[in-house]
Amino acid sequence: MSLLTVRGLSIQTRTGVSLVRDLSLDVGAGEVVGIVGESGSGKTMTALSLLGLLPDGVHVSAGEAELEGRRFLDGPRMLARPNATMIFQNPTAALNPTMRIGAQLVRLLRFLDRSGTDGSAGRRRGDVRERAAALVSSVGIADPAAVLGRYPHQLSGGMNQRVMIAMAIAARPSLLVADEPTTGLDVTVQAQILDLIRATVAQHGIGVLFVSHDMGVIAQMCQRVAVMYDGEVREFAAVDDIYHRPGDAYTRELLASASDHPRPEEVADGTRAG
Amino acid sequence: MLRTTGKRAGVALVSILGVAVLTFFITQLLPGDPARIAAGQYASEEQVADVRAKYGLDQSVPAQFAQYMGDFFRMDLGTSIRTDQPVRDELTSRLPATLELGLTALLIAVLLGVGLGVTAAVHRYRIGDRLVQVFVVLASATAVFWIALVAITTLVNGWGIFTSPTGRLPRGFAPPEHVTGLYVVDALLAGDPATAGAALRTLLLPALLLGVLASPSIVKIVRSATIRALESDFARTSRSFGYPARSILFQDGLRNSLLPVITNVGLVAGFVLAGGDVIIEQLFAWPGIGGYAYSSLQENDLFALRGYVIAIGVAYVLINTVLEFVYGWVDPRVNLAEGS
Repeated sequence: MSLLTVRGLSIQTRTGVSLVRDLSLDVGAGEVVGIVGESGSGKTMTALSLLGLLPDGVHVSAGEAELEGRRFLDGPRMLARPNATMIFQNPTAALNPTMRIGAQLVRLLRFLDRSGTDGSAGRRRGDVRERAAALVSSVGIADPAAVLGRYPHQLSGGMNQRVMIAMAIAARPSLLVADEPTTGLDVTVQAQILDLIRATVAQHGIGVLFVSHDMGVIAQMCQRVAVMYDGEVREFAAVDDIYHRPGDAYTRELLASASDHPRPEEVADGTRAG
Repeated sequence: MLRTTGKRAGVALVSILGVAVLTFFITQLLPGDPARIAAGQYASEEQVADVRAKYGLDQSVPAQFAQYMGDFFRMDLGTSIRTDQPVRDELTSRLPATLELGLTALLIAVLLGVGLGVTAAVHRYRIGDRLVQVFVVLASATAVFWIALVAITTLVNGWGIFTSPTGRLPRGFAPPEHVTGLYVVDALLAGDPATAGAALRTLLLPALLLGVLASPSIVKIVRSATIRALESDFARTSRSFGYPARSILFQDGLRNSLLPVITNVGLVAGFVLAGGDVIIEQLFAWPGIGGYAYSSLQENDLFALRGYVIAIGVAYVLINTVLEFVYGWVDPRVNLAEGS
């Protein structure tokens, strides 16, 4: 049974411009599913709509979505908060610039304790700052105390994305939505962050909806991928099939444009040729 | 930190020096002959020349400038032509009245500005926002002297809500013992709530007028900064975790819109201390430095005017120096050590 099911999702602006049309896809438990497409293809809007984060003036006009068998999105109405979290492009901007990393983690942990959405509110009585430090070191940050005392602008983009991943995991979601999480990071950091996401979701058995414009990154991360163009899914299939036997003309173009970039295996090895 | 403090203090001192130099040359450009006015309309040329010599106005401009700067460094602002009193003493004795009025007005302006700005941001592009915009336009377009006269006619003379505009206390009240110079505070310290209440009631109308008229720029800045913060990536992150709206408004919205507010408070302080204040003090017979400046200007009292401009300039520099430190405290991205 699939973890996330999206059926017939359409997104419009207030003035009636259609951004996404009749999109359907599904993510299995523990599976990483990609959405790939160029800028403006509607992939980010799709991701945002699932968490009710669409910007002002943009709304879901039709379609429905289920997570773990429970319907949470029905047309323009958000029925419930899905047990999902999100990591974003530009992690430095995604963190509050006037709060130390430690304070932001404490804010989240206190909120989770109060709301008990992780299903274990009573059990986690440990000191909240220690839990924050443990959380930060669990995403491969060597010196948690130093990082907790810093502001986002004092850390690198890669470091901030690790913090974001730590926060996203702390909420114990069943689905993680990743919107271009490594765009703008340099190649070695990108590989580290991708490894971290892969390891973390595997460890917690979290399903991932992974949005990217980069076919190489998608090939490395995902089992299946939806190719989007101009608000529509052109092809939704296993990555291997799409990579080796693209069925759609647009997918072929996308692959051809991606061939200028390093092949995924080379990125993973850190031996970028040329 | 210590080095930064020293650097800021140095910048402040240079700014104050600049104020002093500029003040001299600008007052040189004032039309009219102070000596002629001081000597009186029917004085002979000899009498005018005597007055001129008495105040050193017969000397060359460079010599006057040297004398002026020398006095300035001794903190001597000269003698008022109009009252024959040392300008510095007159200003310091009147300063508490202006501070009481100005600070109260500033407080009202900030509270009103932040309150309305946040309200507008929360209800952005909807009816609440539009109403705030109407207030901003009306308050920006209203002349101080007009609304003050209307308020005195209706609120004081018509309905008697506020006490008569005859200074800092109504008739029948003695000023409290001098501690801070702020009547409301002093009266409370002296354990005299009746006087404190009377002083507050007298203070409230001019302070409200000044505060309301000074608030639109704060409203506009708080509104746009809060909207920007609420639509930012980090507010979206907070929404993605499902934080309550209040938490997002305060921790993500307001906290990140404070920096431009602080910048603006410096400008509003200028209006409250020196712009609207002069007219309000005149209309309410408020014995502060604004009314003093107004009288001095009418009688071409060169030294009193210079003293007033310098006092305001120094206050302005001090306020902005303090604000620079507040920046660093509110927004960690502002690094005082760099780029100064």
